[in-house]
Amino acid sequence: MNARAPIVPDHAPIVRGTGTRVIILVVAMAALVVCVVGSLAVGARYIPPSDVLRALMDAAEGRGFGEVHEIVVGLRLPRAFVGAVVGASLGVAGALIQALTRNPLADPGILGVNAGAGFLVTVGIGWFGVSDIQGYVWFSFAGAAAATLLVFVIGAAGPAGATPVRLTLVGVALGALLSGISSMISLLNPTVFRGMRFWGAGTLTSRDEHVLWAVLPFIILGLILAATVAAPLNAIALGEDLARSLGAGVVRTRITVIIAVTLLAGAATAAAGPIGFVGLMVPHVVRWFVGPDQRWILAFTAVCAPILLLGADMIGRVVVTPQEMQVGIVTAFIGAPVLVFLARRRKITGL
Amino acid sequence: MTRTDSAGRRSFVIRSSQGRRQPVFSVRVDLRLLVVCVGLIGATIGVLLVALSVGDFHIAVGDVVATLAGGGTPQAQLVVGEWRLPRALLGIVLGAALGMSGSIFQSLTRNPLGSPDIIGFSTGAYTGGLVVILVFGGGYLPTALGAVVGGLLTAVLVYALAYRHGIQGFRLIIVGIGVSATLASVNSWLVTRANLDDALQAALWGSGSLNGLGYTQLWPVLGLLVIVCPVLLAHTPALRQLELGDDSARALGVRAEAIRLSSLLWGIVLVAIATAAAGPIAFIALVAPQISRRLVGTAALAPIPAAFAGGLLLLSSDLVAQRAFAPTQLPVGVMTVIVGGGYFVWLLVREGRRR
Amino acid sequence: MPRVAPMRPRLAAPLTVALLLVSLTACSAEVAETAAAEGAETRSVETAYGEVDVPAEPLRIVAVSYDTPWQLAAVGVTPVAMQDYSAYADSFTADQQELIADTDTVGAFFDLNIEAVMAAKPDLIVGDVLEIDEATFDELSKIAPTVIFEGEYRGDWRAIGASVADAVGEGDAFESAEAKYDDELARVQTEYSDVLARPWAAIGDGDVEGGFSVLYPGGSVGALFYDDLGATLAASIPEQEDGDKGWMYISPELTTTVLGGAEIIVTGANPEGELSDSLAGTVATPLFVELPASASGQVYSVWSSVTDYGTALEWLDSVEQTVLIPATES
Repeated sequence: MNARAPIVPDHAPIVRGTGTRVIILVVAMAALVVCVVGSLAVGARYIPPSDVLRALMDAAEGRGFGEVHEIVVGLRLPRAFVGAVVGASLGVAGALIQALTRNPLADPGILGVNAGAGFLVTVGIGWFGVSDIQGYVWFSFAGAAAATLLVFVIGAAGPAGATPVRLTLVGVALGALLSGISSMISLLNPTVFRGMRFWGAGTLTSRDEHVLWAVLPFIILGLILAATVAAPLNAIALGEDLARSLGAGVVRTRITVIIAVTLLAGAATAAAGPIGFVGLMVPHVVRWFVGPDQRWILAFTAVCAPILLLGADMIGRVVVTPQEMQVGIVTAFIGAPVLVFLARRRKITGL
Repeated sequence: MTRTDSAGRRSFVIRSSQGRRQPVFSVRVDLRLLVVCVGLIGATIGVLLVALSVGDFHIAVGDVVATLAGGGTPQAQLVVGEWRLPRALLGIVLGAALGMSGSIFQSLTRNPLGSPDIIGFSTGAYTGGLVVILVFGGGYLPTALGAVVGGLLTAVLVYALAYRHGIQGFRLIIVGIGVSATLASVNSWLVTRANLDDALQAALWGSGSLNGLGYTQLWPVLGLLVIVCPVLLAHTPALRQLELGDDSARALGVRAEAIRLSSLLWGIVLVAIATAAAGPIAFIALVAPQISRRLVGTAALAPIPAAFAGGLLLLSSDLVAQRAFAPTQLPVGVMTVIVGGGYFVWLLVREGRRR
Repeated sequence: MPRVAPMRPRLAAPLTVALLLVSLTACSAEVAETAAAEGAETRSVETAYGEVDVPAEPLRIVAVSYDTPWQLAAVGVTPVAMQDYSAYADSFTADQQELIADTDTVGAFFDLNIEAVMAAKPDLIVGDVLEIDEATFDELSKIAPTVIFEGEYRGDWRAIGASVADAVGEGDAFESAEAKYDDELARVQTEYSDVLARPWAAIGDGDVEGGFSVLYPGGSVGALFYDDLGATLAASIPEQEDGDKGWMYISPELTTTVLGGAEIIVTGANPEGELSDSLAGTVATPLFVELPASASGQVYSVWSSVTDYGTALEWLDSVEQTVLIPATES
């Protein structure tokens, strides 16, 4: 099995038939809604769902005050919103990268996105005196985008192209270089050290929804691009020559995917800091259930990844009360064992 | 008498007794390898003299040599003999250990990224040291011990998780990345809950630094390396056979898994020594074997030039880290990451263009 | 088909560089002799690493630990060299910043540059055990008499400050500063006893946006408010969970629960009284604004980086002006 062969799961998909898939998708969406309501109820202070719903209704009518209202509507609601959007973003970005590189072990974080974002944020704090999250956002976005593009450009150079091995190597090397330079800046400049200490772990808290509104257009654009590119990706999975004969433009698809990944991963990291492993775990589990059709994979990933992220956020809020564990740390705790498990399952020789 | 083989490489033979029928030993030495090693040693001596001479006290090289020979002012003896010399020697020796270890790892994993850094040892060592600094208050020896324990446990964990009918290079790297990522988030968590000065102390140690190291560290390190290096070098012929393929190696009587495990173990001991002495220093183990490989011109395992390259690299990085932002001193580990990471990116770019 | 690349150019570069560097350094050296203190009077001082003979009237003192320069300044002694604080100069008072700008440096926090210490030609080196371990002490002792002190706990500036003052021969100045502080403290405690009896909360930077940390008695800042000043800890503040660091992060969701019982809230600030960006954000969140203390205007910000009796007196004065007097009037 060479690197260009399609990913064939070890078994047939569990869910077959379009009708069944639609039903399962609807169930997943319902689960997402339950998760959102749950994340409004669960936290350092547990608020019963009836109070949650009442606070939401008050907010819809434009009135409402008091501590419960402020916690549910002021703190948790934006957080749930950010979690859902960022989760969908990271999940779809991961699914796209896995489809593009034919590597089930790919994740935007491994490919250097987080290191790039972190590097430009350190530069922002150190040289441009940025100190609030609105400032971080643009540096983070630019850094993540630049790193992703750089990894793909360097990785795709050469006749062998963007093989999974090469992309991983480039991602790790570039990631290490950028985080090394970030460390140097942090150690030379204590203001940067203080600022990076907390940004570096990834969190969904954002008092200011302006951050999310600012990057939302990019995320929406990225999701739209992902939707358009799903069918061509299916064709490419059959082999490049076959894909061309079917009319799917290989190069155009690749470029679209790279742009979509850059938008999605960059915006998500900008809004929430570096969060790893969501893009790795969810597409893989989804693929195990629904098979290799990219359209279904992307649809399910967009719904299930937020469930994972919101779940991780909830865990982070209850496990060390009265403190909070940042969501980026929780996903790494959950995700790394999954990565190891995956590495043991797959036949790696082909990669 | 030199001989040129089919690949165009010249070599000659050293025999213990010329002209007799049964020489006690007979070694073929590649000419280019010899020249590279001599060149690296020469460069190292040059940089060493510079390192001994520059600093807040500028001491001319002539005076440095005089001081080393036993003369010189008491102050020069203090500065050069007590402070600069052991630090520079440690840089050379630790760099050599890391370079040798890296070449073994890269041969084992058949992958240029196969190094203790990627495989999780460095992050584990950082976690161990971090726990000691933040929970037990630090101190040189406890931190060193914590680092070694943390690194070893992580290496064992990664090995165990990656073992599946043998060790395969890419799986080892992926498992290493996964375990590293978990530990990295543990580190983040620990650092966010610490006092600011604890966090800064941990960050400084975690970058690896030769500042403040002296003869107290040098003698134990030399003693350990004198034992470990020959053992590891003895594995070299078997490892070279393994590089040509497991089956052909087994046909020649090499026990593949046993040799792999043993070299992995001793390779990790080398890294553990370096980490205990100076904290986790990244990238020497990754980059030095690559540099020596390109200088010597062969892809086969060559731990000795890798060691010399590592020594030169670490010594030079420490010199630059001390003087580049003077009077601020940077930890050497930060410089090696930048130099090593940058060199690696450049390598990958070049390989992409060349093929 | 590997071609035998020319080896000489490959090694020529590094060799040439090495030779160039060596030749550049072959100019005359400047080796100055350390100041010989023979014949000067010495006294014996008890330090964390044993008894050390120090000059009776030291002229050139080098401070090698983070708090030492201020402990020296508090008894009227100016060091000739200290750590490099320039990167975070704005967390220091105007007087301290003057000293920072004028003095030579010997490295940074946890990163001592021992050659710079020698270059400063000290006749006495002073520090504390947090950064200076015994091996470093041995090396420093080769330059000049070195006195390193420890207190009962980390950052115990009272005990360390006393030893430092004694070592430089200013024990009297220290004691009078201490007495002055104790007197002022007693006066403040009686004058404002009713304000101090109300429930207080002292907070610092949090780890998430909108969050904060609560400070406890026994911590470096908490000790000032609760142990020295005698303010009452609000009942709504939870027990310390992990160890006795003296502070604990709190999730923003618990703002009302934890700080709701406090009538007076003090936050950290820089010497000009400005809040950090993180704290400024926290006190503006709707949950914080609705707190009883905030609604009645009883949220105050005080610079509290006390390292010696000099800064302690400044702190006490600022607490009186910024917190106690306004709180009495409200």
